[in-house]
Amino acid sequence: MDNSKKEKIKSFFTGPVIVSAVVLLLIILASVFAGIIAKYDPNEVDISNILSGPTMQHFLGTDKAGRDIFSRILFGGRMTLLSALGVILISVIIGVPVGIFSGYYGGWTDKMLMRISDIILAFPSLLLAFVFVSAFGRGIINAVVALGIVYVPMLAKLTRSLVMVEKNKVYVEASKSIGYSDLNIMFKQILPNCVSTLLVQLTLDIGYAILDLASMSFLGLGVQPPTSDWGAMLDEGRIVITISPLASLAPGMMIILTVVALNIFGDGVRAYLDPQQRKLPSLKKFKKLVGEEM
Amino acid sequence: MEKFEKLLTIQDLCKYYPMGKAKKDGDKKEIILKAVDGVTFNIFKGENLGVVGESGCGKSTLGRCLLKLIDATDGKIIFNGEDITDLNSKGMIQYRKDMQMVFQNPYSSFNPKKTIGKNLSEVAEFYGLKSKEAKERIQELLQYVNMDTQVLGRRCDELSGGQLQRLAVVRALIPNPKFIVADEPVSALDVSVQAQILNLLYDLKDQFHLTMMFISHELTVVEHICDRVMVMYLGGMVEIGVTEEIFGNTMHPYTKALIASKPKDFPEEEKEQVILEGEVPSPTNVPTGCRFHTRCAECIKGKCDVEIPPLYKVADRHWVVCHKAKEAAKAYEEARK
Amino acid sequence: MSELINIKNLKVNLMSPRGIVHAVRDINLEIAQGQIHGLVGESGCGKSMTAKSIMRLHDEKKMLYGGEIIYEGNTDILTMKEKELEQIRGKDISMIFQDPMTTLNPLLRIGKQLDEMILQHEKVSKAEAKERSLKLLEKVGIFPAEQRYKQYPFELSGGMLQRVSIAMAIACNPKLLIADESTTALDVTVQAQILRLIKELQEQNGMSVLVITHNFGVIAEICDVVSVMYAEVIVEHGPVGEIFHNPKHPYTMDLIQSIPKSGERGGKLVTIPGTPPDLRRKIVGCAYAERCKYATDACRESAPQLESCGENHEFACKHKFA
Repeated sequence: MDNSKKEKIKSFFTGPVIVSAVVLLLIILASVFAGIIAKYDPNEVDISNILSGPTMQHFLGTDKAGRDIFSRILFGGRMTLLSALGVILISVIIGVPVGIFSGYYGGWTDKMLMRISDIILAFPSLLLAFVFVSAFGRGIINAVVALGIVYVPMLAKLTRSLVMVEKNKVYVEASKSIGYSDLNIMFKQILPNCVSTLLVQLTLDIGYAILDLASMSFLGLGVQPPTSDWGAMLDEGRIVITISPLASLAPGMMIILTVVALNIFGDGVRAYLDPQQRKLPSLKKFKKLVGEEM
Repeated sequence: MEKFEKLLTIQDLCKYYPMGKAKKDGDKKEIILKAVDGVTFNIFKGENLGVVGESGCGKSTLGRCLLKLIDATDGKIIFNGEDITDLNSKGMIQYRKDMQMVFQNPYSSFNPKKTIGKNLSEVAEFYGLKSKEAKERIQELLQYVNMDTQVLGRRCDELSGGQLQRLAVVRALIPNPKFIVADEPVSALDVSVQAQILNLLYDLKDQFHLTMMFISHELTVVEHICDRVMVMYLGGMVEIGVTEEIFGNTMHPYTKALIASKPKDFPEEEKEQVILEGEVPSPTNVPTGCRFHTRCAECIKGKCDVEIPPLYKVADRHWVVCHKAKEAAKAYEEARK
Repeated sequence: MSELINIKNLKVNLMSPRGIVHAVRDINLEIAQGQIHGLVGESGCGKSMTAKSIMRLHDEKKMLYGGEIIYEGNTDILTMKEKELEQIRGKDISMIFQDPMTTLNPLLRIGKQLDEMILQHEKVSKAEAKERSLKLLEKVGIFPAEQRYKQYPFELSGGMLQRVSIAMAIACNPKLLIADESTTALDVTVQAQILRLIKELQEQNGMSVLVITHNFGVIAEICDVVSVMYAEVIVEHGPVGEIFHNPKHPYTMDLIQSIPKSGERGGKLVTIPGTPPDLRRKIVGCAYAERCKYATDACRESAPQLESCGENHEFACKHKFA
C-alpha cells in the first residue's frame, strides 16, 4: 500500500518536471527575498552611470536612467508574480462559483451565465482588458482586475463541464438522498473532485497571465513608472536595444523562462493526475520482465 | 386488514419527461416520455416488496420518485400517513432519515476524494449525531456487516465492489431508517459476491425492522428475497401479489413470458416456451388500451387495444391488470379442483 | 482431428505503467467441432482475453503472447502473418460483442455493412452479395428484410442490432462463432430470443460456438460443454450436466450454490468470502486457496494441475471430492 503510493509520487518527478520545479522555486525565492538579494534600490537613479553594460558592480548592467537591471529584475519579478496571482485569484473567486452554479442547476441559470460568458469571450481578451483600463484609468490594480475578469469565462466553462460530469455520478445522487443541501453538494461534495483538473488549468493560466500582464505593461497600461515590472522593463529597454540589449533581453528571458517552466510543470501535474498519459515501459524492458516471471 | 399496516401509499403516480417537439403527421407535437404512468399500490410495514421489469419499464424512476429524488408529475405519495408529494427539499429533511437508498453502482456511490470514514461520518453528523456517537454507530454497523474498521481509512478506489456495496448498506442504515429502496443492488457485482449482499439485505428486515423496496430485473433474486412482487411494463403496473402467488399462479401474460424467458437453472430443465416476440415499445409512444397488447399472444382485437384493462383481484393479495384475468382465474380454480 | 481450436498453455501479458498485467495465466482449451462451448467466469477472470486471443484482436504493441493456439490441427494462430489472419478473421472465425450499438458503424446502412462483409471474403458480384444479405437478415429474424436493409443502426433497437451483428458474423459460414457476453446488455425477454437464435443457427450450420458469459443461466440454456475460469486459469472443464450436478472444483461448487434458484424462498445463500485476486499479482499455488474453505498448506504451495475425472471432465484441485 505505502509502496505503491511512494511509486506514484516517484512517477511524478520526471526530468523535465524536476528542472521546471527548480527553476520556478528559484524565481519565487528570488522575488520573495528581493530586498535581501538586491544590492541597489531598484528605483535609485544614477545619471553618472547609464547603460553601463555588465560590470562588477552591476552585473546585468544599468538601464537608461542608470538603475541596476538585476535589482529591477528581482523587484519586477515580485511585481509580475504577485499581479499574475492576483489575476488568477480574481478569476477563481468569480469563475469557479459561476461554473458550479451553471453546471449544477442547468436550465435558465446556466443559459444566462453562459451567454454572458460568451459575450466576454467574443472579444479578444487583451482588447477587452485595454478597454477596461482605458475606462477606469491606468495602473496595475486596474490591469489586474481587468485581466481577472477577462479570465473568468474560460475558467467558468471548464468548471461547468467538470461539474456536469460529476453531478451525474451516483455519489451526488446519494448525497441528495441523504438530504444534503444543494450548497453542500456543490461545494463540499462536487468541488473537491474538480480541484485537481482546475489546478492544472490554473498553473497554465498563471503563465498566460504573466504574458498578458507583460503586454499591458509594455503598452504602458500596467504598472506606472518608476515601479519595475518585466513587461515595463521590456518597454524601457526597447528604445536602447541597439546600445544595451541586456536592458530588454534580461526581462524578456525571465518571462520566457517562467512561462515555459510553468507550462512544463503544469503538464507534469496533468500527466500525474491522468494515468492514461503515463508512459508505458519499452517493449524490450517488458519482455525482460515477463521472462523473469516465467 | 389489521395485520398489514401501510407504510407508503402510492396513488396514481406519474412521471413524464417532455422530450421537445417533433413533427408528426404534418403538425408539431410535444413528445412526452412516460417513464411512470399511473401506478397505484401500497407498501406495508415490515415487508420486502420486489419490483421487476425490463429496462425502461420505469422501476428505477418509481423508486426515485418515492424518495423524492425526482419530483413526480402527478399522483400522491403518502408516507406514514403524511402526504409528502408536494414537499420541497427543506420540507423533506425530516423524512430523509426515514427513507434511504442503496444504489446499483457501488463503485461511484461514495465521494472518491474522501475516505470512507469521512464519507460515513459526514452522513452521521448530518443526521445530528455527535462525532463520538457517530463513530460508535458506524463501528457497530460495520461489525454488523462483518467488516473491519480499517476500511474507514481507505478511499473507494481501493475497495472491491462487494465491500463498497456493504458500506453503502451501512451508510443507508446510519439514521436508522424505516424504509430503504435498493435499486439493483447486486447487478453490478461479481457472481461470487452477490450472495453476500443478498444475504445481508435479507437479514436487514428482521434486524432493523425495515421495510424495503427491492428493484431488480432478475426474477430469481426477487423470488428469493421478496415477500411481495410487483411486475411493471412500460411505466405501468401489470401484476402485484405475494411472491408465491406471482410465481405459482401467474395471471398476466407478460409475467408469464418474463418467467419463461428467464434462463434455466439447470441444463436439463424443461420449460414452457412462451417466448415473447418483438421488443418493448418506446415509452414516448405507449400503445392505447392495454399497454402490453402489441406483444401479447392472447390479445383480443377490439377490446385490449382500445379499453384500458381494470385492476382485477385474483385472490387475496394478488391483483392483475388484464382483460382476460377473470377467465384465467376461473380456469385456474377449475384446474385446481 | 475433431478439435477445431486447440489452445495450449496460452499466456497473455499486457503492459501497464505499473508493470505486467497477467490477463491470461495458463490456459489449455479444446473447442470441438459442432459444439456449443461455454466459458464462464467472473469479470476480470480472463475469459474475454482468451477469446480475443483466438482472433488476435489485442493491440500487439502493448502485449506479449505465450503458448500456442492451433487451428484445425495444423496452423498456429499466434505465429500467423497479418495477411493470413485476415483470411481467417470474419470468415472462418467471427465474433459477436456485448454492445451491438458500438460494434456496427453508425454512419453506414446495415445492408451495406453486410454486403461489405461478404465482398471482403468472397468473390461475388454486388447483386449476389445483396441477395445473400437479404437472406441473412431473414435468417436471423429481421423482417421485412428489404426495408431493414436500407436502415441505419440507430433506427433499430438493441435486440435487432444484435441480430444484425449475428447476421454479419455468420455471413461467410464461419467454423467458429465467438459470442462474447453477447446477451448481457439485453433484456431477459430479448436475451431468450437471441439465445434461441444462436442455438438454431448452430444446429443448421453445424458450426462451433464459444459462448463467453458470467451468467450460469446462459450456460444452462444453450451449452454442451463448459469451462469454468477463475483468476485467469481454467479450474474445471466438463459436459454441462456434470458441471451443474457433479462439480468437482470448490469454486464451481460454491458458485453454483451461491446463485438463487427459482422456487426457492428465503434462507441463506452460500457465500464465498473475499474477492478475486489482483491481475498484477503473481500467484503461487492455487489461486482460489485464499477463498476456499477446504484450502490446506499444500494448496498454497504449488498450483494444482488439471486432472481427469470421468469422461471429458477435468478439474484442477488437490482435494478429491466424491
